[in-house]
Amino acid sequence: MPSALSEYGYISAKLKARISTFLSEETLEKLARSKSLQEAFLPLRGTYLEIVESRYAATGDLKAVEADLDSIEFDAHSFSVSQVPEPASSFIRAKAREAEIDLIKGALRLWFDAHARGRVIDDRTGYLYKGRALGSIDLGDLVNAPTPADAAAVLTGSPYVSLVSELLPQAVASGSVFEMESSLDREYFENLFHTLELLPRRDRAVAERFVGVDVDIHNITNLIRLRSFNGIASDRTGRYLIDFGTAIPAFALSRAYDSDDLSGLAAAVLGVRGKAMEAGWDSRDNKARLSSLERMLRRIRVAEARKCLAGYPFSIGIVLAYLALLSEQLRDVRTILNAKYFGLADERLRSFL
Amino acid sequence: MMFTVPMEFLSAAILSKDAQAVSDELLRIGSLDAVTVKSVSGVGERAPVSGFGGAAGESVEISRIQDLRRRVEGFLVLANPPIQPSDPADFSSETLPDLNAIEKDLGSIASEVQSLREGQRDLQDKLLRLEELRRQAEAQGPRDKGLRLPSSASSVLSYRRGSVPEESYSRLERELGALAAVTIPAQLASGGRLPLMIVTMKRDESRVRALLSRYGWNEGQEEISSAGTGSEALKEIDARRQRVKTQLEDKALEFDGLFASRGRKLADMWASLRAAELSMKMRSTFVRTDSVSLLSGWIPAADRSRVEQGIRKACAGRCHIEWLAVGQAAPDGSEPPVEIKNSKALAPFKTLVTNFGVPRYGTVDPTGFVAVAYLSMFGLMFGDAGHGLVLLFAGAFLLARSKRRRSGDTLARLILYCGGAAIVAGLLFGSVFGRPIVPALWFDYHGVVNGEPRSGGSVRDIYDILGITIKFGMVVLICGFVINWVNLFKARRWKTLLFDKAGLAGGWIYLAGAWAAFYFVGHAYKALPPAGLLLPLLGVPTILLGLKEPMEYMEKRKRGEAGPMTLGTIMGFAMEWLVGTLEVYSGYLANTLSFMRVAGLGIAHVSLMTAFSQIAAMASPPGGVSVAGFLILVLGNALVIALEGLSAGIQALRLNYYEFFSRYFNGTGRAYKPISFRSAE
Repeated sequence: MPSALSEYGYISAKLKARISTFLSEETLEKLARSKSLQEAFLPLRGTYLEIVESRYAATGDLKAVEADLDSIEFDAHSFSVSQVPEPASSFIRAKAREAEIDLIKGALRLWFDAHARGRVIDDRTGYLYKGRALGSIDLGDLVNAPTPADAAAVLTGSPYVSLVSELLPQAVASGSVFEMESSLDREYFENLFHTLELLPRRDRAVAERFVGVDVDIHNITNLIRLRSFNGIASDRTGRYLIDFGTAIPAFALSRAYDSDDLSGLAAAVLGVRGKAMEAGWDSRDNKARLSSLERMLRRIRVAEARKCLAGYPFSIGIVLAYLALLSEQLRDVRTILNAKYFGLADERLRSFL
Repeated sequence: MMFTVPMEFLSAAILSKDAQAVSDELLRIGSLDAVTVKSVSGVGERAPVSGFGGAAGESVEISRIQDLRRRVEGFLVLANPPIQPSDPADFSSETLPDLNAIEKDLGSIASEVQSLREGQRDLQDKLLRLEELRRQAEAQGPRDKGLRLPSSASSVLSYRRGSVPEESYSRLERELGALAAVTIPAQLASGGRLPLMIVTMKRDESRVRALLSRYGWNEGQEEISSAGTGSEALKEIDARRQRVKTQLEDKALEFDGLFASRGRKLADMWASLRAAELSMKMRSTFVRTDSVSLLSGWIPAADRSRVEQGIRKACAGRCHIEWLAVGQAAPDGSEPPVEIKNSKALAPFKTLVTNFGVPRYGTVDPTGFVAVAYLSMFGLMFGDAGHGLVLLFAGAFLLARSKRRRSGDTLARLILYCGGAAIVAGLLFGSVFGRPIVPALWFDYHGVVNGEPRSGGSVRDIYDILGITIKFGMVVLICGFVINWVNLFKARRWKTLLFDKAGLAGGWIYLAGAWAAFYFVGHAYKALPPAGLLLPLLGVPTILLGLKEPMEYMEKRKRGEAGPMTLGTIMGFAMEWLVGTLEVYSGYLANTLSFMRVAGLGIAHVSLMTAFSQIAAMASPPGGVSVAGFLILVLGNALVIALEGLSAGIQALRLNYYEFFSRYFNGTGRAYKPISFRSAE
């Protein structure tokens, strides 16, 4: 039976080397302090994100830059899948499906805009993912498919085909893709939980902590979307939230949102950090509070990743830490670049980081 | 230079109104490692900088200047090629640059850049749409040859033929430009209508229909003979893509043009901001009363007269200058800064030394010793003239490249020198690419390791090689001892010189121990030196080691820094002595044997090359070399150069740092950092 050292030794060293090339706090601060979008790209020279600086210099197109950032994240998942042994590989593959589903959801939204809403999407189709990581799925074909059945057919061979075949016509009929997207998310989490069960004890313990935070972030984001944009009644929100052992219970989150008791919930779930955050809440607006809670959970995920890096190196923790840190960093870079593009004030920008 | 550069302490009292001129002159000379003296009686707090029109909020001002300067730096590197900044020395002046004007200029450049980027983005957007059209047109299969339009049910493209009123065409084309669409008009209009073909995406069908009906579109077959065909559509898409690409290139040229026209201004802007920043930084180290400022700091003794003349000239003689030697000056108890001055050729070895630590002021500069020791060790571990030649070429290439790019060349030079050392050692060992091509000037390393030495001589087997490296290690360690004794002698630390484990007593034990070891080996491992000789030789210095602690204690007692002697104190001395003695005997033995790694690496180098030669021979016919054999030899040599080169480099560094430096090196010095107009941030 191969040892943890032989299974994770190489990938651990490789990913730690990659993590060492991530942008430092100082570089991110330089980005945030830049006076214009163009100047915000300059600190990226000589870093692993130099490619996006070159892309912007060649095209002046922030959307193309964002597509590059998405590709970097997506390729990192694919790379990790190829480097770890089973059953960890299945788990990482299941996790990589989050990014894959995001790309497919993006393409389905474009299809929906063009074919169900009659909107022009020609300015957005150029940024669809064109890498090989999606296998035979061509997102360009998906957005151009004339009917829902044709769109679903593009996904043949993928785990999403039956779900999209069933729900895309319903989305057209109801005028909303929300149900379909929620189902795709649910499918993702179910598959993730299944592969999580297959992990050996040490790996499972580490993975459960990350998955718990992921579920929380997903639920909070969904809750904001449900209440703010979709206007779904409180008694129906529960079915769109995910339940997971180490996460905040979905019913508690939903109930707390309605009963204005988010402060107590945050304090209970997040302990000292939650109390500290509660002290900083000056708004009675639950949406703003949920956003703060989401940011805090992101910080917890980063802290969890750093803990993994400092601890036992021969487990799945190192891979999850790498993916979590990369994802957070790319999110920060996207946020800063967009803030510069829209000319957001420094204070407002920092509230998103 | 044998020792670190001698320093002197400058104190100068000048009129506050001359502070700016003096500060600029000092920045021009670039020799002052400034120290803020706070202990001079009658002097107030550290001066807030003045001279730029008011002292209030100076720290805010300096940080604003820094921010602006960094912003300008961003624009300098954005240009293609990057703009070289002007010399700040040409921009020292009494007046602070107009920061608001600079900010405004930078804002205007930023918005020009942004506007160019937006233009680029629009073109890029167009290009992406055309590329999607092209991809779909190509995916549809081979181009039609005749007049028939490509019209497959599975196609995502929509091809239309028809005509519009001639005057509506340009507006229609403009509106279609917002979609992924191409229009191909006929050359001539007929009856006031212009025949044309339109290619669009089917997903835009409803919008396209609405547009066409608004502009009087007549769909029909009669125009087919005068408008384009399917293959013309592809041609048109390609032509448009090419046009957009050319426009994008024009934008890039426009971008370069923007910086070409603003380059000089940006370069000067940077220099004026940097000059102001440095001047403020320099003057922030001055201490002053209302009318008098006091500046102070360390200066290399060789620069004394130049600095003194510079100050006198800048303040027209209205100053009082004092020079203090190192022993007389210790502001705030700090030691003078350390400058190591060697020829440029030794720069890589200076970097090796300073990476470990900055030596104490006044001690021996170890750079030259490190150069000799490092290269000798590398040569002994990597003794192959062919491999050395490869390193030499690699080093020369990197050196040329770093000169071209104006980047640091430390590593390139180090590789170049290592190549030279390997060539010399290769000739001594008769090894070229692992082959015995040239006769060995010293001994046949390959022959000795493989048990078939080609030449006679004293080196006959691996033990002889190990012996050589042990002796080499002893020479290195003894050099370390001698350097330490010189340092201690210069510092007049007599007790440490006599009784410390790295002092004369320690050296005595080391030499006596070495002699005893050679005696033992020389007598076939059967006899030690006579006890009557050995005991005093090792016993006396061992006892001397024990004297250091009691003597230091007695001195402390005299100064009242230590309490009365108790049994505990005596036990403490005994324990110190015991541990120190064990450390000397086991530590020095380990330090010496550590040099056996030099032989280990050398033997590994030979063994690897022998292995590759044998594999190549197996893959070749008897007496010849096959292509496979040749490739094995090439790959084997490349592997050995890469792996062994790296190993030898690292091991040589390790031996220098942990065996050689531990004898004498005290890396507690502070590096000399003068402020000048040439200072990097």
